[in-house]
Amino acid sequence: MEAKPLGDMSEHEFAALLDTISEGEFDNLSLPSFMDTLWALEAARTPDVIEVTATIEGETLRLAAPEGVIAHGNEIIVNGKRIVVKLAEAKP
Amino acid sequence: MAITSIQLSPAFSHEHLRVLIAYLTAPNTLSTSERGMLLQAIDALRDSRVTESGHTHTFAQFYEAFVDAVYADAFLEAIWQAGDVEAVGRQWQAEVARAIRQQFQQQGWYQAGDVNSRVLLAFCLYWWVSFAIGYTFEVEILRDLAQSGVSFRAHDPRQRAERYAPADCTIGAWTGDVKSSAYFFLTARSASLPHDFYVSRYYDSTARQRHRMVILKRYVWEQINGETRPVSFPHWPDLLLHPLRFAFAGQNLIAVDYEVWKEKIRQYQQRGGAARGSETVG
Repeated sequence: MEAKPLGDMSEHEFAALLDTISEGEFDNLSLPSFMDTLWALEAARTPDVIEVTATIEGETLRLAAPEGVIAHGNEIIVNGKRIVVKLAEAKP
Repeated sequence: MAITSIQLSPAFSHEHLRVLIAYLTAPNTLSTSERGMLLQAIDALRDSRVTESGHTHTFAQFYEAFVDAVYADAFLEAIWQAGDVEAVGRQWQAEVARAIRQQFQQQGWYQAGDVNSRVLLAFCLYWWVSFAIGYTFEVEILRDLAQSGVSFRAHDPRQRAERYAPADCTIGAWTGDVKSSAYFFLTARSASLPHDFYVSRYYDSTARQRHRMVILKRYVWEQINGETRPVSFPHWPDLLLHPLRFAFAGQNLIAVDYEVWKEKIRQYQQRGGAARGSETVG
């Protein structure tokens, strides 16, 4: 159920919200919700998305990355890690 | 002490407020993206500004001055000395929550119908209740570990300097934290899960009870000789019936029922096992 906006709540409804907060029910996360929260928090901590575009020229993979990210041929360097992307043969 | 101005951070949006209210009233209904948004919402609220008696504070500073400085030490002493930690913790949680609401009314800090003063009051209550729940759970765990014969060292949260120690407890060389809520596992600025183990809990809505669990690094679990089954996001079961292994933020982790973990640790220590650090990360 969609929660009512804070500004639209009557004083009685706001008092009920404060009662709910005081009870601490927000701490009752199910295991799937708990793990989903961990996942979401980690994703929110690292919001920078780096888009890498790949093109295939013959049998060669070429990567293009935005400024500040080193991409050369089929290699990308991110945070000191060298990522080598290889083309696999398509399975029938 | 009159509040003359409450300014929400420009980073705090209507959407943040909607997600915050949804979390406070129905925490299991949030989507994954809303859960991530909540972290930003809380950070933005902590940076929001309130001016009282000519002094401008962030919401976080306001809470420190008018809630934490007034109630935290006495609360921590009370639960530390309590026979029934949970009962005393819940009693203090409720009493201080009432006192905060009364203080807002008596000081005129709450202006009926004003959204910003509602947000400030809700923030202070939320932060206090999270604090009370968190430390009640921590003291319960530390006491249970001691009574179970697990050898460990813990900080004393009654001492301010120790309250902010990087780890709540250590078992040999392993560092650990006790976290009542998933939302306090990670902050926007901290490294991802720096400790070797985390004692926490989840809620079983069918049985209407909380289950304690431990999330730990795989190298710790391997040293205490535990079996596991694989699991991956987002396919988590409702109950932690078996130790589960999973990958998270580049780390190999295990989630296990607290009692199973505790027994493994106790047996490991009885065999003379000494906790080793993370050099065996695999």
